[in-house]
Amino acid sequence: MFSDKSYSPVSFESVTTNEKSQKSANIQTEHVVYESEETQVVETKSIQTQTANETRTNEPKYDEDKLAEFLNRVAPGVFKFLDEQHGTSAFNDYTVGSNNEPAVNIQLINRINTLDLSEFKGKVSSVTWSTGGGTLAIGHSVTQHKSWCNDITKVDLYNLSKDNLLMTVPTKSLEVSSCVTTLLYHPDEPSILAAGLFDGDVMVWNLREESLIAPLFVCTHGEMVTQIYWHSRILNDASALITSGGDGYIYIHRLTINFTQSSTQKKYKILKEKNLTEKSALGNEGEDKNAEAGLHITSFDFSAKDHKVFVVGTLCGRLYKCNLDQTIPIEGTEMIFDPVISEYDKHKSTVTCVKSAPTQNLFVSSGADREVHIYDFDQPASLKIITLDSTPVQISWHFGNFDVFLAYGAGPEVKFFNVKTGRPLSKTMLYSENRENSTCLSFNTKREMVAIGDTKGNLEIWRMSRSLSN
Amino acid sequence: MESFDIKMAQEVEETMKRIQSHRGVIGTIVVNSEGIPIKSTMDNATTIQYAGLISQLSDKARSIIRDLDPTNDLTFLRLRSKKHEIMVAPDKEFILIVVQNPID
Repeated sequence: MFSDKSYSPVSFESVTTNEKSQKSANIQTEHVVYESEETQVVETKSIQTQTANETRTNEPKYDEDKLAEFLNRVAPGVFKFLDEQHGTSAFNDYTVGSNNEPAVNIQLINRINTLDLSEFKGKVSSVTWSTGGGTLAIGHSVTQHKSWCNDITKVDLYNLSKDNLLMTVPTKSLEVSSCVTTLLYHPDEPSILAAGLFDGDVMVWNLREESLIAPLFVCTHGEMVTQIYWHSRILNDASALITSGGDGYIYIHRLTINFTQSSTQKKYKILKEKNLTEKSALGNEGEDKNAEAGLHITSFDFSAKDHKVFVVGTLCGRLYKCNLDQTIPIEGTEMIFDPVISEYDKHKSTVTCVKSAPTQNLFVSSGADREVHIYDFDQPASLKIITLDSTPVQISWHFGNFDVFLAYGAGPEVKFFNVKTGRPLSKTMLYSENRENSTCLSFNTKREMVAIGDTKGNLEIWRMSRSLSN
Repeated sequence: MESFDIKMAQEVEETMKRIQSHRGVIGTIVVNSEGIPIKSTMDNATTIQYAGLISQLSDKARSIIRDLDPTNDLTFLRLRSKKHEIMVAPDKEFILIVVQNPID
């Protein structure tokens, strides 16, 4: 086993084992759960709004041409009914059902002397309530004019308080250069007041303008203005003011919508030739002076049935049926028309007042002959004649019962008559011992009141229900 | 043709304005034969109410007139209430309704 042989040594490089064992192992760490939650701090809502006109898909279809034709066809009828309807008092006394209210309730609620604080002494010549019933206008005049009028008088405006009592002092006074003969509020415009004066001036105030109280001068009659009348039907687009004077003329004035301008639309004259006795009596005084004048008109009123027909009463006692449509000018004049179409049975003395019935085709006239005549517009002879023991100066129709009219004047009494029977109502109403002679009376249809003026400047306000039992 | 239509539309508006500007008028409505309002000067709710009710009444009134006399026809209808007067002009294709306050 052992030998001496020599062997060369042989070396070899050392080699390290670099073989690595590989182990595959999956390590799963803890499962991480991600939660996503949406959080909105500010909540907003969005709403869509459409300000422009929505385009409708189901717009009703119609023929514009046919619609225009339809409207053109029906519009005149509608306008006619609207005109008729507006301001009508046909239903004023109509109440649905009965609520057992007392039938008649008349009591004096105010009595004031309108001239207490004034140097001017005279009578209350005219009273008128505004269309809303809240204001009363009072005109003054001397009791009797012996010559031309130089008096400076006032138109006082009194307001009603909340509890329907008249204020004791006027809220406004309008100074005028002559005695007031007639006053009338516009039937539709509450701030428009017209006045006729003894010196022949006719003026209109627009009381809406607080600062501007300068009146609009409408016209001047040759003599005193005897009556003014607002007519809403004869001019389509403007107010018509009709005035009559002692000079025998009747003027129709057109007032613009804002009442700042007026123009005389038509002139009528009651010719003296209608009454030959008056003509001959005046003829001796001076033909030149009175050549232009007509018969002295004291009063006129329009028919309720035909708004162009009216009746005129004169100083000589005549009553004329007239029509606004008369288009033939009086001979020798260019634009003055004679409106007379027929004559009614006359009074024996001056006609003091004529008043047309509100709904019927009747009118009533009073005269200085102490008679009240009832006429049908279409008949010349009077239907009834009522004889009184004092002179009736004015007539008014009751505001609730259109069969009843009131006659008053000399004496404190206000007499009520039924137009159908011609008989006085048995119940005494509106009587006051302190009243001298009643000069004017005006119903407040909105507040159910009546104002009465007398010859001593006293003014009485009575409460009076609309329903009036006979 | 278009200008003709515009002219007609203007004419319709003009007539509506004229009626509306009349004293006391508080509303004007034109309704078609189906009772649908096509022109109105009143607010939406009121217009619809008036149009629906008045067209029904107008139809009924017309049928009454025709039942009473087949040769007759309704031309105009007026309703008076405590507050208003309603005027109705019925036609084959349209109904005009005008509401008026008589004591303005």
